[in-house]
Amino acid sequence: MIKAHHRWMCFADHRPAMNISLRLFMAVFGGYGLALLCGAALASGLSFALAFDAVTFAVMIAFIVQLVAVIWVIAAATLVRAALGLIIPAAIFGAWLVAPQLVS
Amino acid sequence: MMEILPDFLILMLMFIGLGAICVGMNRHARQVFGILPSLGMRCLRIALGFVALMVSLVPAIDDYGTSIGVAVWIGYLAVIATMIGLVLTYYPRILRPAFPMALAGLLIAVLVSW
Amino acid sequence: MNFDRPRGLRQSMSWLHTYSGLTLGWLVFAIFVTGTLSFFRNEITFWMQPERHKANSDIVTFERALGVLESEAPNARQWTMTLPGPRNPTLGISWQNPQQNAQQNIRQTAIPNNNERRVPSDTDTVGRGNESNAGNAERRSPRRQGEGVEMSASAEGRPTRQGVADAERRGSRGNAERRTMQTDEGDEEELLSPRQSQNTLEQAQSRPQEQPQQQHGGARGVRLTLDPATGEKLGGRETAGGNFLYRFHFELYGMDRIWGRWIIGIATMLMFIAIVSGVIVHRNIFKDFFTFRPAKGKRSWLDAHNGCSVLSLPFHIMITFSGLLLFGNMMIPTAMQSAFKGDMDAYRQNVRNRMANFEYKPPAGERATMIEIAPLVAAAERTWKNRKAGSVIITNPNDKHAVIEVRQSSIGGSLVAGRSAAQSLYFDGVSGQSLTGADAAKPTTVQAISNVLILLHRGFFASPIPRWLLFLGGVGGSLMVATGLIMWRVARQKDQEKQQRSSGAGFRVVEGLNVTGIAGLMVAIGAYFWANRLIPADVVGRNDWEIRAFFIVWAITLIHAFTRQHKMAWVEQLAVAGILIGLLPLLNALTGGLALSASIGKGQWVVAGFDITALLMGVGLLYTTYRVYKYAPKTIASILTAGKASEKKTHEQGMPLPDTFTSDPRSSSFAQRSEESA
Repeated sequence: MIKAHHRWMCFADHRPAMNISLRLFMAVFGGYGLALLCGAALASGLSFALAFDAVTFAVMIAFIVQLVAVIWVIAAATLVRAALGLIIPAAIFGAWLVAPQLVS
Repeated sequence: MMEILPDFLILMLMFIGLGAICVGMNRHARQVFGILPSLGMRCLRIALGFVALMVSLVPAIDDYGTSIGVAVWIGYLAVIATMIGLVLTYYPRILRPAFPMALAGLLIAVLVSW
Repeated sequence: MNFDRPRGLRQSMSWLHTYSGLTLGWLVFAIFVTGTLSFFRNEITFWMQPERHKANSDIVTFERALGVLESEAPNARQWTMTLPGPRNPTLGISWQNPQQNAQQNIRQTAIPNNNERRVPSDTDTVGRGNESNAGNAERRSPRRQGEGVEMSASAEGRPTRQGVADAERRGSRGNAERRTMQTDEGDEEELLSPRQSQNTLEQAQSRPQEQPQQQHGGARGVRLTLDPATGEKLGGRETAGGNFLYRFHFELYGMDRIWGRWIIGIATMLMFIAIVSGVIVHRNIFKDFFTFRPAKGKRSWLDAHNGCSVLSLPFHIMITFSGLLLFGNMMIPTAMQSAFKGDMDAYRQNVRNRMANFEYKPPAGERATMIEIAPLVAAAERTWKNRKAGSVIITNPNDKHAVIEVRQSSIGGSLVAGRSAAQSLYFDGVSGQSLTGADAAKPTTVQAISNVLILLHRGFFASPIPRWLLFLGGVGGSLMVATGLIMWRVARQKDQEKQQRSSGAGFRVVEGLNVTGIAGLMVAIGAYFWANRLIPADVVGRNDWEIRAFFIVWAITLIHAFTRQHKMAWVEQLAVAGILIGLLPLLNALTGGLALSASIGKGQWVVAGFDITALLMGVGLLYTTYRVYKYAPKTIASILTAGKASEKKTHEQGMPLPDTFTSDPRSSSFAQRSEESA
């Protein structure tokens, strides 16, 4: 069981309606956005023999990323953790997309 | 007749395999046999069951090719598992003679194909 | 449950599973049912054209068909013969007139026909057929824009086998005429990775805005349908056939295609989330593998739901994920954008470079005698070892620069190879010399994975057994969704009775939608088939009327569901569905089709299979009706007294309340309660 009180709890953690709404919003839009970002990053970042193989692979991974993101947002104990779970991968994918040489 | 022989083999092996795994669990052994098996017996049944399942993969791949064979194998697995589940629910005692009968059927099929 | 209280993983996943399943659950059920039926859409279309049931497909002649084609359309640019196969026992012929531009035609067609070994006869009469718009047509267009008379047929005179002509067809996208539904097959590929649509030359035309209008009556589909054995013409009533169900499955109906696909894509993603969260929630996934406990109320619904899901879990995961992949480029456009920087032509060229390793020459204008085809096909099959030829395409026929392409059948063989580059072998039409370029490339790993998934989803198999297994998996999936939806309602009602609340609006909506989405859909499907037989064959636009019948009946069931008491709504709709579907064999016999006894006797397994399946489904539905009718829910008083008694007991023992599905945070989670063992 998760503890009742975590270090980083924000104003919305104790308001059930806001909690659920924010989580839904993050799950739907954050999850999809992360998937799009992941698709873009992987498609251009990975090097396959054929470019469209990269696209196919990126799409597959993007869907899985979206799934994991949604599960994470719903399962995370606090909203801050949920948000971080979206923001950190987004930053990584974003960085990879913008500056591939930094990441690889 | 001979065309469905591989499918028959697969189904028989799967039935034996899944059936063995099934009665290797306490809950179902009690349903079928009325007594709880010992730990050693349970392990033996489950092990044999998995072996039979793996062996059933052989005629599947042999007859259908690798990729389709695996797909067919998984599909048959679902069918046999459903059958066993339903039989367990409604007539668990049927499974008592079913196991040796399946073995017999298997032997006959192997002999026929030889 | 509330998110502001401490909760475990299983509780949150239980919440997620419930609401991702409930949101579009009825749509997912409809997708599952229509998809499962679509595995046999060619057979369904054939059943829906009873005039063709008497086709005798044991023997086929080609010489006569060629003769007919020459007499019917001597100046045609292109002839196509659609060979009979296990999925379609008729011989279809069509042609492309000279004034029709190659660009305006449907591109190559894909019919997942099964290859079967049959012995062709020497001679047969091939007559004329009525103009028809059957849904199982196959077309081929020349690989390049140029002259081409193409015979998509296995070579005459081969004594031991006949391949079924097939190829990929990019459906016409033009206007959203429902008539195109009869023959449209695969234009979902437009939005996919073009790797799957690699066979088409006119890739650019798969974009909607470039698609010109369809030519009426012949640019698509088969013009004449013939009995392969006797050659007599076979009429065929205009019907969308199984293709309506197929297109509904991934595009819905009556709305812009992209909207339909997006809705279905979202529903698929929700389904994917529901499956994975369901697996996480399920505590004893192996111990409960074979466990069904009947007649225990919510417990039994749970067991049924678990059984349907877990036993075909690989199938469900595969079909959902591959469904997502089929919409991959539509839903995740950024991948293609970022890899190709938005350059669509580069994308397609990248695909095509891998495939076409051969360049066509323009027609020389000199006549030349072409070499015999049969030895070329045999040589090709020897090269491919275990793949059969599916079609033969002749470009620049009777010309010095004729080229004969022998193309692999798109079904059969390994799933891994899919539509790989090794698909065609090219021979010089006059000398028979092999012209194939560099070695055909094997599929890469990514392609292999994608091929396997997508071919599994679409059920392109040579043998019927895998397809039937997929069908059973689809039935299991539909039951999984249905039991889930019903279980939610049962559990929620129990909670309400326990807490003596009256049902809220949301609950009533779910109740009504359950009936209409599950039983109502079955009634609508039955009505669709009944409409097919009851609407006279010569009514214009009758395929639209059949589809309208489907939706009108579905709407009626919606009204019925919300105006009747819940249990009676179920009973009545299930009964009507059972009667409609179960009586289909009788209807078939009475309205000009082949009766079950005759179809089994003549070996017409397409019709017999449909009839038998319908019979079994009808019996199943009627049995369900009986069980629902007999189901007497416990009265509220008895539940409460029983509940109070067990509450006392469990509170004394410090155990959590036995059955709750409430949002009461005090109660144990649904997942923890699945611990109860028999």
